[in-house]
Amino acid sequence: MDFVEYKCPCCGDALTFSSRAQKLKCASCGNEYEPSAVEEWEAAGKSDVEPDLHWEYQKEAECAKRTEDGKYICPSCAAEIEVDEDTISTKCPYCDNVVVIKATASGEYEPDCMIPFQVDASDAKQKMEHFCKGKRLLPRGFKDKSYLKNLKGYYVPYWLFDCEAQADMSFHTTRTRCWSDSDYNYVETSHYLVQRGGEMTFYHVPVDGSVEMEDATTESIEPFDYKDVTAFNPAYLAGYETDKYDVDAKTAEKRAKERLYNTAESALRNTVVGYETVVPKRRQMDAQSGKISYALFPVWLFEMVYDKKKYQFAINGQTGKMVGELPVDKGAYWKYLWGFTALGTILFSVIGILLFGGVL
Amino acid sequence: MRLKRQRLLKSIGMILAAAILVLGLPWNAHVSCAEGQQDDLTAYGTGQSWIIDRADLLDEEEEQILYEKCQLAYDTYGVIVAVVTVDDFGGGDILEWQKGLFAKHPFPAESENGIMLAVSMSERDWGIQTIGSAQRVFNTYGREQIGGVVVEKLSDGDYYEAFAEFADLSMQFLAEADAKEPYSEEHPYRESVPVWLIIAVAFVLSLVISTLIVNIWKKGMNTRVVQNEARQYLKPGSFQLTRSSDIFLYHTVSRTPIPKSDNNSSSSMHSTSSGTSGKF
Repeated sequence: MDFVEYKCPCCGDALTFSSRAQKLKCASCGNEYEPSAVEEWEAAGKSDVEPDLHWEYQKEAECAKRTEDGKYICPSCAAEIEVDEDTISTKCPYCDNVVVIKATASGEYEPDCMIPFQVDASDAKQKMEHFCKGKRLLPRGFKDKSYLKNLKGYYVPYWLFDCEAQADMSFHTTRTRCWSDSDYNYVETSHYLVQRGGEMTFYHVPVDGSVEMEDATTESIEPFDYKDVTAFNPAYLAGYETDKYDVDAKTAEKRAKERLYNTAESALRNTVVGYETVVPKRRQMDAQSGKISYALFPVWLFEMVYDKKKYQFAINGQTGKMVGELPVDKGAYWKYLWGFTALGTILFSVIGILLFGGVL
Repeated sequence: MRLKRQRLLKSIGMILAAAILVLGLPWNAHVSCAEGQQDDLTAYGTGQSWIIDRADLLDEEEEQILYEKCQLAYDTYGVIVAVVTVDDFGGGDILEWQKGLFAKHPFPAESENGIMLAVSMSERDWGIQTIGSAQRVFNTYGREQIGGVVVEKLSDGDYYEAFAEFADLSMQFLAEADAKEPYSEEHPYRESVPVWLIIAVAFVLSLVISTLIVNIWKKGMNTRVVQNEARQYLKPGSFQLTRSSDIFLYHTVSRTPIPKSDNNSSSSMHSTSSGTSGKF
């Protein structure tokens, strides 16, 4: 015979059924529960692992056009060009024509769509210069504006995730009531199991497919305006650097899953009102018609290594949104810190002595 | 012969007993006086010190330090600053008793201007009485300011600190009245803070503000923010709630005692035109 054991949601001790109250009762803390409530509570606590979402890829890969020895032919001057495996477009060293290398190896993807550059190089430099202006902690090398040479137009490979999602989540919530008598203040805390389910449609959630690009950078320049999305056209790549993705869609799924789960939790949590505390207990999601597209989005990128650390600064090549991290000159940091401290100490001491030292 | 010797010894014994009885009476009377001591104003003649410590709260060294402080006040401003401690001043109004004491001139100088702190241990009474021009310097505001500081230390049993604080504050009040005007509600007394403390606070405050400013600058160098959600990619109007249930589980009740306010303040004070007194 199988024994069924339920644990008390309050103290974790074993519950027994009280025939008198027709409820499950905890001998340890004295709480009584409706059997259905305990079943729901137990079910909400069972699944610790958040299920993965299921996706389908948009289309199969196309074969690359290249010579037998792995070189590419310039369509303008027919010269043989050597490029590394990740290159999608490059400039011909003989005729200066931009050569687009469509797909590089079998089993890889050609982009499904892209957004062409709308912010030109001079705008990008101006924005960058404006951002650096007045930054007192920048290293000295920034004063001569030579850093602007490092700014490059770059089509960043992105994976775009689309799905119709069903989310089902449980929250442990509390509500409090306070009252007093002549001797004591009382606080009654009521605990609830709140369950919410919902449907929502996600369109083109982007996850970058480049190892070189840090997630913090690519996510910070979001959003891109999808009104300008066009089918992939190699002509748009002319004059810009482009790399094939080196983070595959399967790897990018993890980040997409995190963002979708967090969004669903936030949307459902917003419907949980009237409680003082709301703590997620279980999160489950299922994606219908999940699709992944491969896209190229325009980014002006500035990179440098300072004090053995890599710094990345990016401008959204479509909207002009600027984000990034600039290096901090440690000498300047300490100079300003102690300079202000010394100045402040003198100023506050004089004011303090005048006001509290018995001078005035 | 033996009988004569016995009579002689008996006579000597009787004489000794009578002598002991006669000598013993005033000795016993003195003891009983000390036990239920009530200070007789006539007992205070013109004295040698500004400190009259009948309750024996101070040692010699402390008395000497206090004497020098009071002497300095008298030498500088010609005002008596005095401290009197007794076991029992005899009941009634301690300020009246102090007034009478001033009239007996028990201090080294017979000035008509002075301030006296008196402490009576039996009922834990204290009083600050002033005479002459000192009434202007130590007005009601001033006496209450000094009294507030003194009574706190008296309540803690720090008698020497209380008397030293009284002497120092009296000196400060006299100096202010001499240089500008007496402290009053319009010209309030502010306890001066040591310079080293002001500089230390200024340093810490400056360091905190500087760290804040420089770190705001540093933070401005990095505008990257990881997007943990994808809310902007949610199709408008696509969100629909399909399930909603709120199940009550249990409740807990906690209680905390309400602290009772203690209205039995033992250090309240009241003032007359020339004095301020209270219990400590």
